[in-house]
Amino acid sequence: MEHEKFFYDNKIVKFFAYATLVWGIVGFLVGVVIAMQLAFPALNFGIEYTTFGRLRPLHTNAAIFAFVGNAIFTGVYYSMQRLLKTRMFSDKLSWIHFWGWQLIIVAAAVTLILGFTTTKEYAELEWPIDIAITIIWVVFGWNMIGTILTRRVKHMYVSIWFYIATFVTVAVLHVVNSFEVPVSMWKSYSLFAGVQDALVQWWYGHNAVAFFLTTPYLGLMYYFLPKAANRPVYSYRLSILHFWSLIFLYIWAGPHHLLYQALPDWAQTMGVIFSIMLIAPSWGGMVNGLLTLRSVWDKVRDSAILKFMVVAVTGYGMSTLEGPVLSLKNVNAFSHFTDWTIAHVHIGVLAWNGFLTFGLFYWMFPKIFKTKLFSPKLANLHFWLGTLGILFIAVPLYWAMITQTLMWKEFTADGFLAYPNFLETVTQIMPMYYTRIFGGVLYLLGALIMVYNLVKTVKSGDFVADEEASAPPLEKVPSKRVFGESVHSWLERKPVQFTVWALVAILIGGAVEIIPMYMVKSNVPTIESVKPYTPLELQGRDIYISEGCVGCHSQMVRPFRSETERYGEYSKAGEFVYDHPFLWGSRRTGPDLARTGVVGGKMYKPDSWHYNHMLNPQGLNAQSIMPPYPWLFEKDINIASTPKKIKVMQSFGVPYPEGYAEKANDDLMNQARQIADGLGESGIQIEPQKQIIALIAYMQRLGRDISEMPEKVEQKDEGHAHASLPMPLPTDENALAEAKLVYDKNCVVCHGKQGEGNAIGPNLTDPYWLAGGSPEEIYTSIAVGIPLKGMQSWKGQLSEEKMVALTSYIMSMQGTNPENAKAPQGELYETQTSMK
Amino acid sequence: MRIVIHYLENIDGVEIFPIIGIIIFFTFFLVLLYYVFHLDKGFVEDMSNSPLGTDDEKNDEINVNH
Repeated sequence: MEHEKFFYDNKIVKFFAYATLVWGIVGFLVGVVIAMQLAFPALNFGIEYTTFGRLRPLHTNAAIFAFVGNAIFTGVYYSMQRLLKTRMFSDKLSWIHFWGWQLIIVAAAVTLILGFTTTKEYAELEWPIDIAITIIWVVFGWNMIGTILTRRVKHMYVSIWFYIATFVTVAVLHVVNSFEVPVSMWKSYSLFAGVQDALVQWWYGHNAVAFFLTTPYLGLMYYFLPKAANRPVYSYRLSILHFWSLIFLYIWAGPHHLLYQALPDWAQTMGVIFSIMLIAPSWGGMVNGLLTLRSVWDKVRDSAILKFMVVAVTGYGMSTLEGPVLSLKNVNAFSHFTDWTIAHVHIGVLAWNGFLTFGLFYWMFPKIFKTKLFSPKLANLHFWLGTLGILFIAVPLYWAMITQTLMWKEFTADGFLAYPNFLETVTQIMPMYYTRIFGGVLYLLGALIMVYNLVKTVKSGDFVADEEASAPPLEKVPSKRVFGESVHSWLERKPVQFTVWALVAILIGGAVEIIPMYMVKSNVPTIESVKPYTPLELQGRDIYISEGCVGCHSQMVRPFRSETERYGEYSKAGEFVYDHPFLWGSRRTGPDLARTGVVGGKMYKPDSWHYNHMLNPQGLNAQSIMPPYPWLFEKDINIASTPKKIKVMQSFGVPYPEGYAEKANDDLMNQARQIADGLGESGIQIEPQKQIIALIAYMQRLGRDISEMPEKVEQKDEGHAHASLPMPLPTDENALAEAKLVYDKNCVVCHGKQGEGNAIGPNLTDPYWLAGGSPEEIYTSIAVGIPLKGMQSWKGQLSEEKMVALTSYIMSMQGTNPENAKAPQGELYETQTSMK
Repeated sequence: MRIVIHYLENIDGVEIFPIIGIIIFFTFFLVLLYYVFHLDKGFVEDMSNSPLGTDDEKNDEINVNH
């Protein structure tokens, strides 16, 4: 048959490749920056646009959608044309796709820095960008399906199936997870609330990993690995099994991100079972990839390309084993909220996606520029830097995970938390955080060397924008199955049917997971005491969202003793029914905040503490790694947005009274004034309309619904004076020195280094006492606390012996007259009375 | 997992969803396995070779590093 002449479009491939390189460097660089911020909080610069909370989503989005996204399109546009023996369906669509995607990335970067975020991981972008993504994704799919329909080969190779599955599934995931109702141009509320929202988000989040970071790359692997090895794939049969079981199973496993959280048991179990089953197709794919290289193993030593690919496929195997392990409930119990999650994603993206991309680029650039690679030596150097970089990122994070989780869960022989102060567990892992920075720098350095190497290659080469090729046209075949043809090979020449079946496969899993969730709403026994947020708290919550607090603080106390002892009552599903979106978080860089509003609880802090802490965290805890938020003290709450926000909430069924939207701001200002007045009593002057007031209101609301306010009467009159010391006061030097350590660790924040007092707590060195100055009264203040004033109860965290020693130590501070002593408060207590 | 709230237990027969799912998957998987092992050998070989191409691309130089 006569051959038709046509041209491959290399120009679009080149542009996507350049975009990959640029965004890759940006993504790695921001990664290094935020790793440094975690080690040196001063690098947050106290500027809102450069705080960790806003840069973290910028890093994840840049790595996933800008770097990996562009790399996918590079590989897909290169391989699809050649596998189907045709030019892309439409040059116009190709270019709309290219520029549309780059515009989305720029818009994402700008809006994330400005604090426009939905907080949903890997889906942080606000609704206008969500719409743009949908449009551009459809353009990509249209172009791809068009190309497949105009192909010159009868059957579609396995890579093409993976591309089709990627397109279809990402479209479904993105649309379902983006159900949100706009409040303004850059703010929306998720249609789902609480448990439902969490389930939809992690169904999405999990499958974004599956169908954005995995399936398209498997397509690339099945094309570029045989290309680089110049050998056919080890087993085509295995690749069929790999494809169908992978896309079928992946979609079910989402709930494994929410183990031990307020989620129904069956959903957790299903997530675990399917995660374990996923090992089989994943490892089938890895084995298929590695065995493809079996006959060129000798060349791996010299070829940087093959080395990159071997490590990439191995990285795929490692993360797809690690994932199921992490989703075992007993492993998840200690791995969740730690750096293991962070290590896991970095193995995935840096080794699997990063290294496959690098190998592909070193192979492809000389091809489309008709030249040789500028320096194989530099490519090998890149390989070693990259490999060391991954190790120096992952190993310290594993170490940090083990250290921190053991510290979180350790109890003393007396049954108290061994490290009740969360900060101790953070300080302990700082050396690992320094090492991680080094790893990030190595990886970035390697990538920069690659850019140099490729630029030199490009300069020495001669670019072929339209590469000539020829092939016979596709002969007409009946659309029905012909005699002797298997169903699958029939399917492989019927792309539309194929797409439909791939869609069916992923929808079954999606439906099994999502349909029961839709039935939940009417079945959640709403806890009666759980009320909608007040307008001020709602505004505070939106500030919390905007600043990306969820990146470091969870709001989900799991039902373990180590967590209930540290934070308070475990979280219940019914508490979250008004949370649009949910804010459970996935990493505890700082402590859980679900119970900060429980007066007298372990996490409770007075308003003045929150005020000072947000202004200057290191002023309260020298070793804290939290960034300061000075702009919250200058900017006003966006009061104009309140009515619209209330109305949107009402449309979700949040029971605000009818017509409340118009009155909401009166309530907001009343509550704000109360808080500002309260702060005024502690000597802090702040106008009620400042953002910090709203944030404090939100902090003090968390967990309050299901807790009881302590009765005021009980505090001073009863109980207090009656407590007696369980043992005599120690007076020896050793006991006092030990008590000083306890004081330095727990009391300094509110009472000052020398007991001089500060804006939060009273002076302990003068003879004036708010709750009595006798040993019994001081002991009672420590043990029982004065919750309403912010003095917490320590009897759950310190042994009686320690509290008595502390009493003794505090009494020894009397009359020391430290600098900056706070003015006396309370009543005079005469120590030299007849008591002794 | 006594302490995690089982509020979904109120839905009649909620466990049917994962069970149906698993049955669908295993049936599908067995059928797929059967088909894969009954594929035509020549066809499989053709497909395996499709990335390597024949006419318009040379694949002789794996050793771009030399």
